[in-house]
Amino acid sequence: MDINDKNISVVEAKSTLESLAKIEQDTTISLRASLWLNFIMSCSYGMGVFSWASTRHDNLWMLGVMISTVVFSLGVGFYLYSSRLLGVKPKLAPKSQSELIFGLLLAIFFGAVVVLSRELSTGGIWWASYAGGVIAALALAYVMHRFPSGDYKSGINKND
Amino acid sequence: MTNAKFDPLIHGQNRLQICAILALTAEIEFKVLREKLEVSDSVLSKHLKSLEEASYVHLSKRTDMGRQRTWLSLSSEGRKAYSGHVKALQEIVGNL
Repeated sequence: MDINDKNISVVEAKSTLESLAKIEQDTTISLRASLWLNFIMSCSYGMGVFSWASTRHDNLWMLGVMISTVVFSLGVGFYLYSSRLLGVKPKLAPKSQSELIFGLLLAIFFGAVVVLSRELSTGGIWWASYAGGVIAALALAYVMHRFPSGDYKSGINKND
Repeated sequence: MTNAKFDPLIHGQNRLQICAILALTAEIEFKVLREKLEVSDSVLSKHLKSLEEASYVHLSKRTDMGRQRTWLSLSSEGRKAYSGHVKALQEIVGNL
């Protein structure tokens, strides 16, 4: 058996890493919002993006922005409150470099979707607001399901 | 960037699992952690004490809705030590 200077065999290190991957997977699953909550939050976010892209001075889509903001905020609040009741608090701020990079990339992506759908929609491409809303909703649902810990390194579950 | 550093204190199976769970969360309740690890109160307390003495884990007792709950979180030192330890294990396996 190959033993290194830390007195740990390769086999032991491998089995430790495998057990870590399993417990990380279990913890990631316990951090996930339930599917109905994920659905409500994603739909309200997508609705907000669509409403904002569709808002003009002569229509009422700003009301859609307000309603979706309220629904989304209530969804986030309920997720944080239920997590606290269940005894597992999710991270609200990045704690490592990989989480910071992942958070920045997500912020750039979601920001780009909001800005592009609005700009293209006001520029005359009517379907841009629909596309922006759908992309934002699907992307948020995927990120919340796959990466609830906020770290792309620990959230990938290849078995589901 | 955290350097690979083998840490004998957190290499024990339970202590490593404690760090892995805490690294993914902001805080976790003592009772929930005990259920995840499937250990007794005394065993978990013993492991947490050694991690707390090394300043890897913070324990905070707070009263929520009339009952006292103990919340646990990983300190920045603990996060660095855990990350370095995982990298050291990956180096041994040859993943890096």
